[in-house]
Amino acid sequence: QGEALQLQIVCFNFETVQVTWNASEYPGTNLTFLYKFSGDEAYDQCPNYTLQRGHTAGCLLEAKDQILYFSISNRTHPLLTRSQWVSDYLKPSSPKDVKFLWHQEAVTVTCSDLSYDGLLYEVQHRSTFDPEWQSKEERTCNVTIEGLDAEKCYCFRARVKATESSYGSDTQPSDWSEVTHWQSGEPRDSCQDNQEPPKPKFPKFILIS
Amino acid sequence: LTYNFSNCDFNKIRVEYDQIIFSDLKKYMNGTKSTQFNYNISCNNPPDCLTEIQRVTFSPTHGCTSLHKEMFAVKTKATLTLQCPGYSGIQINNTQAKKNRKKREVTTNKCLKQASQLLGLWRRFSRIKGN
Repeated sequence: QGEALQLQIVCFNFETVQVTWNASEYPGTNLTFLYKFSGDEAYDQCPNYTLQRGHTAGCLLEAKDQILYFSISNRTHPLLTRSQWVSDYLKPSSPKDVKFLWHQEAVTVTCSDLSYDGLLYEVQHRSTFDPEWQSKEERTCNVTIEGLDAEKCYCFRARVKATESSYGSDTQPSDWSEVTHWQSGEPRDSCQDNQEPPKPKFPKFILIS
Repeated sequence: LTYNFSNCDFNKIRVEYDQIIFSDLKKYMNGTKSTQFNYNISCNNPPDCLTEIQRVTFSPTHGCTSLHKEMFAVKTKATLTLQCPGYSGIQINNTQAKKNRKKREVTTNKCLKQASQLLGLWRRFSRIKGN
């Protein structure tokens, strides 16, 4: 039952839950979404349907870290009845108040920790000479990246990921924070691409043979 | 006899779940799709979650009588014994009732459903902030 109804669920930072269904199987039909957050409560009707071509195609709900019991029906009978932890479909919000604390050739990136646990805070950086972003992640939003060259210009970005042990494998990472640019511990508008590679440092002594 | 889990060291239990129990549970559930079973056992705070975890792990049900013999269950018991003062004493009394239980049975669908409830409960326990 319900195999024909393709479903997508996203829990945005435990603030809202969006359930969307592929209504192509039931053209011209307004499917009904009933839900509850506890096994012993009565079902409620969706307070906020999303429409597609004038027919219901989804429901937007306030989220709780609980099991969502829901049923999707056409006019005559239920097509799909399920109960899933909304956390299984978490998409955390992207990092806020991202701050950079520079010390010699290292930087500590911090941001506001979200109000729930089981997350990984990932910071990526690269200089104009690096082809790829390099990643580092920590359990709290306090990530120190070492071995940075003071003269180079670096780009940084951060995001939040949910761990499989606390949320399962159907989650989504947050969106990336805005990319910021830094050189010699100072913020830059951008890292110019035509920037010359830094001159290799010669040792202080010269060998005379 | 029921045990009150309020005095357990929740942070240490979270670490042991994260590093040990979770991989055993995942191995047991191997191949099960996350949406294969509906969830219907929930919990709201760490003691409540541990109470449900203990009940679902160690109370045999019709169609699944030997979940408590699985590796994740053995490690759950070891963790609770280590991190919850007085827990082991209570379990000795309860063990007498299990003496005539059958050998470990093949993993039934009922056991997989029960284990998926456990996964939901452990996940919930592991993301609740603070002690």
